[in-house]
Amino acid sequence: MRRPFSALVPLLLLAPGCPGDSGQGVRIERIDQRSLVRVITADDAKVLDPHVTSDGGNVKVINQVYETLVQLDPQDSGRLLPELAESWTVGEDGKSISFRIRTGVRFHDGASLDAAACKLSLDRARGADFELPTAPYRSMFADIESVEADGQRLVVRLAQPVAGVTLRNLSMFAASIVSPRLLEESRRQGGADAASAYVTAHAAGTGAYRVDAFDPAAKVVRLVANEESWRGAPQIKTLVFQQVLDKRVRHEYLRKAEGTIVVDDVPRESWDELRSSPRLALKTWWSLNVCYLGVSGVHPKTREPEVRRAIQLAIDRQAILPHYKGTARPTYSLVAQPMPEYDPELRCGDWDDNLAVRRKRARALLEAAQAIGREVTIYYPNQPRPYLPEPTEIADAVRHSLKEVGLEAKIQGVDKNVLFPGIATGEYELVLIGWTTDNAHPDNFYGPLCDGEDGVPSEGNVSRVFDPEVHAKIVAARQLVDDAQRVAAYREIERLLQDRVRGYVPLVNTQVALAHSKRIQGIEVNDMGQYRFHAARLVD
Amino acid sequence: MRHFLRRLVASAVMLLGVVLATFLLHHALPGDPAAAVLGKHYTAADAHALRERLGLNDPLPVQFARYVGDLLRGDLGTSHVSNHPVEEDLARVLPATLELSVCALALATVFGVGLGVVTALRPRSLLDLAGLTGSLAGVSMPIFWLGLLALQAFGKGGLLVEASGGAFGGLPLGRRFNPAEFPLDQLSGAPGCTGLLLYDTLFVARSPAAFRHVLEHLLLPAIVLATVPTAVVARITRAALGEVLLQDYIRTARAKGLSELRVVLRHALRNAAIPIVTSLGTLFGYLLGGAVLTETVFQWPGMGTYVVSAIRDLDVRPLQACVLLVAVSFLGINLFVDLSYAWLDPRVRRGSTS
Repeated sequence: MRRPFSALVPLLLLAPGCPGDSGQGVRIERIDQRSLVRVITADDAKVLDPHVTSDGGNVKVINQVYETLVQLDPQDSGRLLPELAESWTVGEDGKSISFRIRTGVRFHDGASLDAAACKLSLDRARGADFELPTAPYRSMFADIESVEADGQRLVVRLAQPVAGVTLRNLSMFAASIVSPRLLEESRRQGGADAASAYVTAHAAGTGAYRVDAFDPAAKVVRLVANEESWRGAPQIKTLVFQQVLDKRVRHEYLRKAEGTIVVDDVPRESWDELRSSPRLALKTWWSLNVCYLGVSGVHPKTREPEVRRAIQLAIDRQAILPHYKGTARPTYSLVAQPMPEYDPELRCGDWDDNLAVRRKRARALLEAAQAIGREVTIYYPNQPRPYLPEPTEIADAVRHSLKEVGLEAKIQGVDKNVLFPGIATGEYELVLIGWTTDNAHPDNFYGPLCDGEDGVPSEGNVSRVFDPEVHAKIVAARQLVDDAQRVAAYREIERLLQDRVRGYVPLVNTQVALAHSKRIQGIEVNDMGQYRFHAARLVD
Repeated sequence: MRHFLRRLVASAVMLLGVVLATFLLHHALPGDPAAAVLGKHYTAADAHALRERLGLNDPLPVQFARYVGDLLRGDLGTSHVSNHPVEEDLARVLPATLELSVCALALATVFGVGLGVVTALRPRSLLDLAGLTGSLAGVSMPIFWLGLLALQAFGKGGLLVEASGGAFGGLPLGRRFNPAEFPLDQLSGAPGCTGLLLYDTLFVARSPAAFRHVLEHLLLPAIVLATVPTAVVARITRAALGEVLLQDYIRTARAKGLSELRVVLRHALRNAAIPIVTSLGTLFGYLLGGAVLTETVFQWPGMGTYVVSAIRDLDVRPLQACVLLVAVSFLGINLFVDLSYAWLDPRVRRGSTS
């Protein structure tokens, strides 16, 4: 009898690890579940090199592994707290910051923390040392002229007196302090890609957790407690990050709530159900974000100031709110509503609280500009964002507002990889978009979204207008250290932008949420939604 | 032999076409790959620098020459998102897709052929009608919908779990294994490990508990992925076998007093096997390349999930590598199917050796 596949048998016997093979086995044991937390996220981590990424999925893991010189106070994002720097002083001219670096701190790979280690990382983050494949946050450190290290003393010298903004930038994950041993080793990997991949593969910071397993292709991210953390050993011993892309499946995880879990990007439709859950707690807060309609000041369809003013007057914010299911509020400034620079009294020019009156004025302005019946398109990102949970529905509500005053508005969803370059080249007349601040400083709204340099608008500036007066005021406001003066300066900038440039219409400020098992207490969450587990504990 | 050589040359020409198509693919996609990396901090200068580093600013012929040169050296490139070599990523994700596809194909073969035989033996019966309806439903149902339905019904905390009062604990909600339960990632790269977790847990780690854990994770996605192929195989088997069963030699075999089982398995099914084997070959290619939806619903870390992620990030090299790999698999499988004809049908063998 012919046995055609018998030829395969020897191959199978040669396969490694076959039964009867005396090769060594790998011992696999069930992980202790008593002190383990699973973190369910909508985005996955692919890179653990803090100086080359801007992706939220990466940042969630990076925040557990790495630390910065200073951190934002989770209770009050207006305040800074010491982290790897025990203390700091700002020079009298505002052009230098002197840090005293914490002693006795060790990186996960055993290297010691000192000022030289901090200098190496900061020089890498700002592009003064090392070649990086890309550095999305490098511009945030452009004011740093030099970094000097002496024992535990670190001095950051600035080109401008902008110590306040710089300190906030240094609190961001992009200024994480990475083990100097790891960075020096990465130099020997041959090329920027390989060096960065090496930093990811051997991540070593000073954070409360170190990497136990990181395999982005297999979607495995497991962190274990850093028992030698300078804060003391964390009580939760293992963190496992799991990406669940589909929000319906994420909802299933929430519904079933197996084990001890933390879920971010909680679908808004689950919030009410979660509030009455016996096993899960829902933490919600007003995020430091804004959803706005960007209006081009140079595009032929919205070039006339009257048309842009009409658009500002026409929008009915109340019609947008139902799409947020009670988790948003109308907002009237670009800066996030929870920040002190937000002006609750701001109502520019011919504003009227009565929508019908406003729309009448809007229509008159459009008539004067001979723009009644003009076709305009509202472009928007087709993937949901925290400030834009239902992009198409919200864009449609805005479209309806514009139609009410005589503009023939259409909507067009666009992939973010198309949208951002399109904004940078001024392709769009209207863009429905939003922003969440990186550092809780108003400059992080007005700088990237309304300003520019050398007469050229920044890439995120939808209006594509560079206004020299606004620019001068933004530059001056960055240098202010007195709280009252700073608040007044930014409120004036907001008024000027809305009255003169008319490059955006602020729409809403939204809440965001984190759901977690009630057994987990003490998760530290800041206003931008960044969370850490070093102080978290499990209770019965 | 001539038939084989002709097929080989045709495959090589097709491969060249595929290489060109995969290269042109990313140029047809809208958007700037740099935007995926830079996100909201996109600046024209950074984007230009990144594109320069990736060689995307070069003329198309130069880029194509570089791409082909890399391929000839066995270099599939580097992901611009993770800065990781693509071949290393593929070595991680391919076993996951292979394991899922092979299991789905095994299920489809057993149940599809079984269903096809049963319905062919009882044409126009109630059983045949039920089989036909089932096959039609299997082919028509969208996989993502079926996947979500399966999760709702059989997943942990699902409807059937609640209905059974806890007697049935439910199956995992997704993934290949739970890294919070078993550190099976430690098997990756360990001596003797293949990346196929069923094999590795049983024969290398020798852990029945871990094997069961992997099997539980595999079951639901494999069943969902097997639905369409099962229906296709069942319908092809029914049609082919139905035709063969009407042949004179089958009547002769029955007249000789052979048992019905022997007649069907030994004489009829073997002669009906060519279209079935052809379909299995094509279906395996479909499973390799078409597991995207199943993998997404079940968060299966295989090639489908990898491709979705690459498309989202406009990550050119991983995307090109995956498309190329699937295309090469299809070509290889088709070649294999062609050759298997010779074994199944002596007429082909004689024709090819003459």
